Amino acid sequence: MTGLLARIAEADPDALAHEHRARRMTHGELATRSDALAAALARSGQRGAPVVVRGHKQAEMLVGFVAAIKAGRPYVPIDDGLPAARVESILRRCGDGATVLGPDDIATLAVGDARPPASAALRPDETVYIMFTSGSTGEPKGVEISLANLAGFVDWAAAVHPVGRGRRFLNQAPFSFDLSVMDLYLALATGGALVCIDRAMIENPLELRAALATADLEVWVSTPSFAEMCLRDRTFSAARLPRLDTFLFCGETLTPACVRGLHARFPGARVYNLYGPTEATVAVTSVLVDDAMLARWPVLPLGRPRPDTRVFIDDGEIVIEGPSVSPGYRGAPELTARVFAGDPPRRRYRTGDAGHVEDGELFFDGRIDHQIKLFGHRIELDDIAANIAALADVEQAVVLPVVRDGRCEALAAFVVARDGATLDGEALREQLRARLPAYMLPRDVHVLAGLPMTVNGKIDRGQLAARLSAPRVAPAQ
Amino acid sequence: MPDSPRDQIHRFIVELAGEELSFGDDDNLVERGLVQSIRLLELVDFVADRFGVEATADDIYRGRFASVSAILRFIAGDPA
Repeated sequence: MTGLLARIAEADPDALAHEHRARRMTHGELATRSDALAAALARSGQRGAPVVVRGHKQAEMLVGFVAAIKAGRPYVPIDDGLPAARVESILRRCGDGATVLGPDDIATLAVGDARPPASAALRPDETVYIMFTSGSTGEPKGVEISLANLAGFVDWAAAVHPVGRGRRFLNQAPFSFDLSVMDLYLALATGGALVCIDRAMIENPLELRAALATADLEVWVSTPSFAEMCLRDRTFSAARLPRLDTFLFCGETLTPACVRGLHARFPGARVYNLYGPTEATVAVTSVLVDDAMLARWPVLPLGRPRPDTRVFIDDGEIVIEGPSVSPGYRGAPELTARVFAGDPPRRRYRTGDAGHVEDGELFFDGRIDHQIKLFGHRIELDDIAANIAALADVEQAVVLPVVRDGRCEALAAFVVARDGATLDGEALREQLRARLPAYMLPRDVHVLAGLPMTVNGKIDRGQLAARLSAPRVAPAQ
Repeated sequence: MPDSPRDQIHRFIVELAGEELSFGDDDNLVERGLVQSIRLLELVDFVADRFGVEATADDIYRGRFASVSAILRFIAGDPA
């Protein structure tokens, strides 16, 4: 046994590995149950054929993931929150040889003391998981991550962040979102425990408050949006979570306001900003956001790359070269060739993220495909959003194109006020005139109580876009 | 004369939304987008502070904060 599996096996068998509501599983139980399931998987399916693991946060999902690695098969996590059409499309791409398991199947199969042959375990160059992300065509893309990609990420992330041993990690992201790979494997590889927050908790603010009050978290891993949502609860503080001292953020832009809010509620806690696409295994850069950093940068940097990884800007686009870069998209060689090049460990991926380097720090400038043309001007939507968010009393802002007949005819902004403040759309437009050229001014400014979030805990741009295309109700005069 | 509980709740919801809204006492606050689910907590805390009635997660599930009328019944201790 080598690498990642060996690290996971070092845990104290009696230590907690997973906690969800009243259910708990130790590292010893995870080891035994995943051995038994792996023995069944190694017998029943072909090496390399995907094991689809369905569910929502259950301990059985972890048993399924680890068993697949032990059985020499990649796994595909599918959260119950994904829409049925998307699940169908993912299953189609997994092929006929795939084994599909829900929590009940796993509970039935993962019993007894059978073990898979040690030789069955995945080799470093084989695919450990396939993570499906949304493609611009609407069809999900299956990003293949090798065991070497994953093990390298875990080694780096555990070395540069103060995650310690045997600690309690927040799991907010569903397992079908690769942000969860960070909390899941950091916890398992350091003998720690994954403490899962589920969808029902996130949808009911009082249930979330109650769950967090007893979670006794030590390491926080989430999207910034989720932390911003928790900050709206005045009880979210060190008084309730006295041992929480490390925050790891990835998946969207981390704002200075969010970090300041966390510093105020959790004095002495360390807040890290990480960056990376699914295609380069969760994250490849990290930075500790301290007071000096906040004082210096109005927009936070993404941090320095892993020592074994090169991150550079090519024609305004962030390119990643290193051992964490994925082999490519499953069953899509043309799509793969368009954005990937070279061989491991120097494989390269073009991220589609716009960026720049200033004083040695890497900065995110929005998605390249959020750049639009309006009346011939090239416009960066996230640039406008950042300008709006910098205005007094604005908490969050998102800018979207108003599209009619496939053409961008105007811009619309969605803004949320800071606590206790009131915003007026017209007044905001007036203030923006001082900051932006006329062609970048949003035609419509919608003031919302909050921004909708996706099942992954990111701002739901799709839902906002749908509002723009929905038939308009005439405003009251 | 101090505002009625109804007026206080009404005004707090308008403050939460950050814009002038027009809505009826029976309109569903979350479904109509008047109060986003994540800000419901502020409404719950407001009701606890102002009227001394603490809500639980179950109360949310049972729709006791679904509308201004539902909140008024909750404050008054009436069954849902």
